[in-house]
Amino acid sequence: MTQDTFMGFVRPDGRVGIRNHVAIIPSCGCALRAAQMIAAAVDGAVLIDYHEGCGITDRDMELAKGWLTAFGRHPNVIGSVVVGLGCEGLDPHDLGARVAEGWAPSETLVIQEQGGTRSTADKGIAFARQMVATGEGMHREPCPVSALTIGLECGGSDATSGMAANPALGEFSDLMTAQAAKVILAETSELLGAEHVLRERSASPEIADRLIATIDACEAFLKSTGEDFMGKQPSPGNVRGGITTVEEKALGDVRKGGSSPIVDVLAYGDPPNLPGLSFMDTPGNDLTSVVGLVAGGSHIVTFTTGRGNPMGNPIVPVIKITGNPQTYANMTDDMDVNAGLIITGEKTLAEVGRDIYDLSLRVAEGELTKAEALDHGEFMILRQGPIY
Amino acid sequence: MRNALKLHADDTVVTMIADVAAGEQVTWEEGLPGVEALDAVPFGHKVAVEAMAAGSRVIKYGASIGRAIEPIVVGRHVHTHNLKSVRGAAKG
Repeated sequence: MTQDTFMGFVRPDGRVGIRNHVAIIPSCGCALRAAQMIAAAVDGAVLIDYHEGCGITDRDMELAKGWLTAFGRHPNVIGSVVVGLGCEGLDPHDLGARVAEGWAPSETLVIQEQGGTRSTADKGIAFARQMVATGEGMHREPCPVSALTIGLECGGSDATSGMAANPALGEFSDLMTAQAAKVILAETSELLGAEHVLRERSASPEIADRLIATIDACEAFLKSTGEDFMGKQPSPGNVRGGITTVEEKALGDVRKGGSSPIVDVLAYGDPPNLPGLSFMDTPGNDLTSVVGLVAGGSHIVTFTTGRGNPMGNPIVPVIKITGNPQTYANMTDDMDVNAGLIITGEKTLAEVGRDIYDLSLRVAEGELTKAEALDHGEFMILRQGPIY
Repeated sequence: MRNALKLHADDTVVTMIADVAAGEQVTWEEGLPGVEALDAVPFGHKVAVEAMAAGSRVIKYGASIGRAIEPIVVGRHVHTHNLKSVRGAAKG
């Protein structure tokens, strides 16, 4: 096995980045407009579209702060501006200090201290422009594929997902783990019914027990709402696309992980420590799951879809793969890979898996995905408690 | 020419990769007769290739995807009207 390489940015902390973004991070919804103004005015700045930060439980607040910090310190981020209001629960100075512990420069602006939205935005624009300019002096150098962390996601699934796009992504996942990259399977609520597969795939009985306990806890939580799971998993679009039950969806979903053993079980947003395939406990909601994968350090998210989902992420390229030839034709603007060629008999699973691998290395070197070219930057973070 | 995929030898259903009208043939392996569709079944949806009693498991990917809630004869469209999850229900 040859060690594949790609041209990436080696950061002062030794991690590797594939993009040079400046992140504008509001600490609450009331600071969102000033943050939007900064991101809109500076080429190279991206908005982290967070709008809670107040009136949530202490636990949700502390977790959100950790995940926002992870975005600010992501290796694709070369600088950040934290924008607070001043009276919110999620202390912007504390968030800014945590982000600033990373190698990249970070500034914190608080609207009530700066004299309003306009002056905050003007100062933020000046900071962001300086940070963007530092990126112009950064150069790519050869990096091993083992430096990459890859998130696996599926959304808007239909019957082709389990037959074509997900097993092709599984072939891709095996190519990545063979290079000792870190690959993250996720979406706990979409695995109900695939426990026997996951148990077989776990690297040890202890990993299997943790994985099954995570799925059991998810099912118990869903039942505790008093609502039927039907209508959420599978979603109405999944059902129209031919998926009848969550078990059927799960057996198709789990194929994204390929055939390598699952070596670890991660909490939402936690980075994987081991090379190979890890599982992260994220919800089936695509925006929230992708944000968890990115907070955990994913450089690229590979996203399979049957019905056609256009979403992206502010700091990480999202590669769209559809197994449905009709969807590829309908949504060419949004789809990067046509795994529908498997259904029409024109390509094998292994060929499409290799195509995704080759594309992911080009994307790692700077080629824009369709979602990036359209500035898709959706952001939604996990919250389990109420809003007060 | 095949118009359906059977994903595992143990499966009691196949998945259509083209729309099929009632009375048309469902074929998942070249050279084998397949089964006659009793309903119009769209792309991506399932057709029974084995008879299933009410309460029996419906098998796809070689594993249970839920239980038949009424008797299902060969050629029948298998979906929410005759197949139900055994997971995640609030009651029962």
